[in-house]
Amino acid sequence: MAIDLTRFLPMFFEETEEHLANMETQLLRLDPNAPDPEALHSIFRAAHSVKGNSALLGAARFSEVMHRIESILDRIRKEQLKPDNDVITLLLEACDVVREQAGRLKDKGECDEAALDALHERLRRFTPAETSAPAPSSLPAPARRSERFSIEVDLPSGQGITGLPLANLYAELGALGRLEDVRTDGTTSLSLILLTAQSTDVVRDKLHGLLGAQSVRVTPYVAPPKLAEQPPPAGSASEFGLFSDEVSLAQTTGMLSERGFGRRAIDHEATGILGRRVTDRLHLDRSSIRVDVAKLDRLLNLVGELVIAQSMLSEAATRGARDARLRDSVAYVGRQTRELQEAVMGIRLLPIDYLFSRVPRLVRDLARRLGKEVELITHGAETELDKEMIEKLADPIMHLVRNSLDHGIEAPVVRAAAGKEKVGKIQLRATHQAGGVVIEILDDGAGFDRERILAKAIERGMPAHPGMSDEEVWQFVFAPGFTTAEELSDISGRGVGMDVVKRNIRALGGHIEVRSRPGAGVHIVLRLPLTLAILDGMTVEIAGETFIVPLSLIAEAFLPQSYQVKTVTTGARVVQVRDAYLPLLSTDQLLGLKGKTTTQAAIAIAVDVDGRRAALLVDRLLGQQQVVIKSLEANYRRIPGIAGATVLGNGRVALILDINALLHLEIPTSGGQDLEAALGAA
Amino acid sequence: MSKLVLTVDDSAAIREMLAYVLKSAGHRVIEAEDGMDGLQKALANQFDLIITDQSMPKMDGITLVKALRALPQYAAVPILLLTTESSDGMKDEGRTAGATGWLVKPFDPNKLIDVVAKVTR
Repeated sequence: MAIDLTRFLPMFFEETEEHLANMETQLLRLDPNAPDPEALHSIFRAAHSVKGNSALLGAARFSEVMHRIESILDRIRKEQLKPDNDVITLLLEACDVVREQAGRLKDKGECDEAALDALHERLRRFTPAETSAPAPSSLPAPARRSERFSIEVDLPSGQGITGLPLANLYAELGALGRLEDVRTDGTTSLSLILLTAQSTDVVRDKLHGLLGAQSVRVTPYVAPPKLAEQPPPAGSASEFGLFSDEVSLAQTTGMLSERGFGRRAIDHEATGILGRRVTDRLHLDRSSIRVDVAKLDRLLNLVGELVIAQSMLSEAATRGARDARLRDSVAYVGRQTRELQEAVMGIRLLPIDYLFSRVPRLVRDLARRLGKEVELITHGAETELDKEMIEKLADPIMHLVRNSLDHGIEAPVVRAAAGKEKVGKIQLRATHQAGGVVIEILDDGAGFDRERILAKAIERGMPAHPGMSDEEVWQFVFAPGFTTAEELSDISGRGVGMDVVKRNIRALGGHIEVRSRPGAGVHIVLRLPLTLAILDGMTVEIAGETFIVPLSLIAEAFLPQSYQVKTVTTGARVVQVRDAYLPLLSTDQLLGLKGKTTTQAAIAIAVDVDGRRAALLVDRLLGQQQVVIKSLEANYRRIPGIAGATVLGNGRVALILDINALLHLEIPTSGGQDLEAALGAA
Repeated sequence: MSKLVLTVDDSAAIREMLAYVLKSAGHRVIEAEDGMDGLQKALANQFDLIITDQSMPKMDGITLVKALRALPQYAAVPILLLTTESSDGMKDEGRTAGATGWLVKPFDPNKLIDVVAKVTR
């Protein structure tokens, strides 16, 4: 019978990625002086799983490399090797090589043998045969966080082991830690070894509560003296055997890899999840299943359509129907639709830990290269946001952290001279605020240099003057190509950063704020919506068409009085709002619509985009509503000043204004056809 | 004949693969994702065969074998250890713990079906 197992390949690649990510996280947390046995165990297990998977993927070279890694981990576990910086770096780099080569294997069906050979060679230098093992006594006594306990249970007389509440006992032990040994004579006693981070008292209390104090003894585990170090296990060729009848069954048959399992093209569509990492939490969740992301996207799209259909229905019902029952039913459908929408969006939410967990590695590598000392602190890693959002945030956040390390945090000597702690701090924080997510990146470095930024801005012919507020000065940092770095490093400072960061954040419907105090560091705040699919909007009417203005950008709406409006020398108009003058923009003209909006009859909406403020004139405010964003590019083409489209309750298409782009638009001579064509097409 | 098989492995991919192969041979399969989970499921059902990985969180395969062999209802049920390489050290440990046999990953699906038939006969 031919059984095709290639359909499982994508899962193996995915799992390999997860194991590598897990190894990396645990390695970064490992305390070189007192490595936690449970953490080591976990790293070892991950390496072992990668080894197992490589064998299944038909990648023998991987297995060899992973075997070397296991040997190194084994030596650390046996306290023959101290996991110092060099060892950890080597292991982290090994993870990189394996990850890269696994990617190649997946994409091209082969890996770069030379890269694996080179890694193998490097790893060999840390494995026993080639190096003399340092005496265990030369290592400091590790202060362990998890410990082993011996647990002795007296079995109920006459009943033996079946007299114990075994299911509860094992469930309790499983919750406490890792059960490492079970021995029994079947009639009088049961001996267990438990590895746990809990104290003796906790373990004892739990077991006493379950089995009665009389029949349980918990003592620290004492390892029996070993006669000799076991030789490294010699591989045996047989694939299967019975302990009672080894000879007759231990014949070798075809391996999976010989049957073509492992070198075939892989269906990329089938690999789901967020590429790199699944947190421990997801691993532990018994009832979780894996779903192809494309299926989720389809579900979300359908629900989006349903929301639109529902609002059409609701509008028709409230307008036409006299029947109260119909109205109630429609309202009920409306509530259920909203709930369904929230539930579906909830499926796509992931903890931001997916992203935060990648930062420690970056910080470690960069700090080493720059000769700086940095402590990374993360808060709110469990904060959830949309999967797509997390993916798109990765680059901007990595860039901001890189900047903080490179430009913000000073060298240890400089910090000491300034009376600061030698070790710099970078904090990553995520919180839910007002229906969105706020991500903050803080450092306690030197902060922005106001004078230097100003000088640079003036040099580059930007509209800068010494009287500007700090907030205005910091905005120059986001100008394309802006850098104050004297030398270009390969880390950052090429000035191709902050403008891209800002653009990316903007594209996500978010905005970025910068605060800085000289000597005290930089505080960057990213404000983002929870999801990319839905927007809280204000519906407005401009020149007879309906548009949506993102609610998050609106500061206030007011009726401009003629005395508030002034025309400045360039011909542009400003409107006075309390003590400030805001540029007053005729939205209809900016969009090239043949409008008739006059200041007298219009309403002004004051908007604030990253500190840049303006007032937009619109004809009418129609109301607030959540809209499902549809890409205009996907359905028509990109139009300056328009962020996307949505379908309203009455079935008509409304365009969503891209406020930031509008603030930068020149009044066009002819652009109206474009927009009318878009409305027609959509 | 259809058997009730418990497969214990922390890799979801391996579990799915085992289930796929075993079900294609007409067996019924219950999956567990580590030794402790396997032990709980073994206490709740009476299996005809248990196939377990060695290296797992919570409880490894050898410990699971010992814990199962301590139970009268599993004293004689075949237990196969699934391992990455068939090393002599592991075999010794497995034999001492009371496992029936071992199977090295990667396994051939037809071979697995044969082995299951053999040990559950």
